[in-house]
Amino acid sequence: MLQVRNLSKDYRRGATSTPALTTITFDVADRQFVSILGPSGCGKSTLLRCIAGLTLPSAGEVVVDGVVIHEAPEEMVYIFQEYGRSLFPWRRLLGNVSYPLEGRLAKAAVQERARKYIAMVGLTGFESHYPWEMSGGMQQRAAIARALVKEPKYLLMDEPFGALDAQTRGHLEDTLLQVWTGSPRTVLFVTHDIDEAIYLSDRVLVMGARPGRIVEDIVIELPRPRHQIDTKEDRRFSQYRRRLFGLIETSSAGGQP
Amino acid sequence: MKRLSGLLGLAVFLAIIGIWEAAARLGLVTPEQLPAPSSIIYALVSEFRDGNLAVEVGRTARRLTLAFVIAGVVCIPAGFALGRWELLHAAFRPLIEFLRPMPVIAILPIAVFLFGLGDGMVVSVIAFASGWVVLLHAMDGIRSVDPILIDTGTTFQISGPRQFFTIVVPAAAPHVFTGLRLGLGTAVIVTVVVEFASGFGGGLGNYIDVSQGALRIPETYAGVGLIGLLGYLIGQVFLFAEHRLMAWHHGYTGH
Repeated sequence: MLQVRNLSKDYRRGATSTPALTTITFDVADRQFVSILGPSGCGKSTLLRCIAGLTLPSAGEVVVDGVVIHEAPEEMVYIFQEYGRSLFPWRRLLGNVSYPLEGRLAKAAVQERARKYIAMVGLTGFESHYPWEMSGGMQQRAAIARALVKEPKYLLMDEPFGALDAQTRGHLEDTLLQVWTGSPRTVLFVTHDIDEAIYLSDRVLVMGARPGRIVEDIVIELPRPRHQIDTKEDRRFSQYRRRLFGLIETSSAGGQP
Repeated sequence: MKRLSGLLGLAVFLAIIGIWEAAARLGLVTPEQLPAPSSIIYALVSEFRDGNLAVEVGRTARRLTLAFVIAGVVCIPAGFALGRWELLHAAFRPLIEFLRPMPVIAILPIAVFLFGLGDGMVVSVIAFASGWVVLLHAMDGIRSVDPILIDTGTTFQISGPRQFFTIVVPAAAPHVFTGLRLGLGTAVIVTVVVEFASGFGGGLGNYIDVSQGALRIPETYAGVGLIGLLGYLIGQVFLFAEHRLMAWHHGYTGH
């Protein structure tokens, strides 16, 4: 279980301190797929970085399986929005995906597991390509394979599909759901896309801006497996959509009329 | 297209040699000013046949190689350390800024005091003069590593020396190579200058000084041409090595 307790983050500039996140508290049950939805600049990426141990919170704590974290926890992997900058340009696909396991397993075992996850994201045949020889969608698939290869209990994704075109994005959403269904793990998925949040998640946490805070916690009761057309044509999908749209509108206005 | 531009370059080069040869033969310039290319080539060949020139080329190449290796071995780790630890950089910055712009000719007497009149002095001056650019590029390389790469290491629990050697160093490597390439160019120049100015120990710089003094004009030109050729060849060898080792970077940046 993942617990976020009274987490706050202030940004200091000289003598002034601006609150970016304020007293955020929520729990995520194991194997749940949770989206954090909010307008741009609400601090959702900062929240995810704090949970991942990449940024230190100003107050509060993150508890992973009962242990308060002080650095990047072993059972958690973070996937960056900037896939092109996160992959190692000097390593080929196989080398990139093998990286997290190097020194942990024998070389043959590392390669075997890397190939397994490369296949899982649909990149078999591209093992000896460099990241910069691949398209954006393929690069993010590579980054997902590299995260999954560690078989983390928690997967943290920061707007992973934000820079992709709609079609590629749909494909990747489905790949992600397929992988998640195959071996469910806890996913925290940051996005500003309402449809994406509903489509993927068991639960959506809606954030408001200035300062960043959780304004709503909505359970998505749509049947799985989900389908790009059928799920989105479900009447409940539109209802969630309408409700979330309203919440985002209100929260991005900063609560002002 | 690439082949065509190569041929064009060669054609222009040969045309200039041809015009020069014609000008010398027609007496437009005297052999004391500008000897004909044919007589320079003749001097070059006969000097090589006597074995004089091969010895000088060997001396220059040995000093250059030794100095460049020393510069690399000392300055790359030093640059990495300065790039990694801000406090170290703060501590050494004034000293570096003071020493770096020092002209080679000005440090030559100091080097003589320290190392005496010999190859040690020559090599240390070349290493000193060419090392700065290597040091500064290595330092910049470390500092300009994308923070997302560092975060990527962190999320995989790769930190400390392991992160440094598997992420920071490869990411900084293209900068290091640029520094080495620039340093090598400086080293070629400084080697010849020091050999010329010190007036002993041979080498191509000393050879052109002595030839000029003896009014052996075609030989002087031959020495100068050989320095150009040596610089060109060393540069080509380095570029080839860089392209092989940094193939990923050329693909990545599209150059």
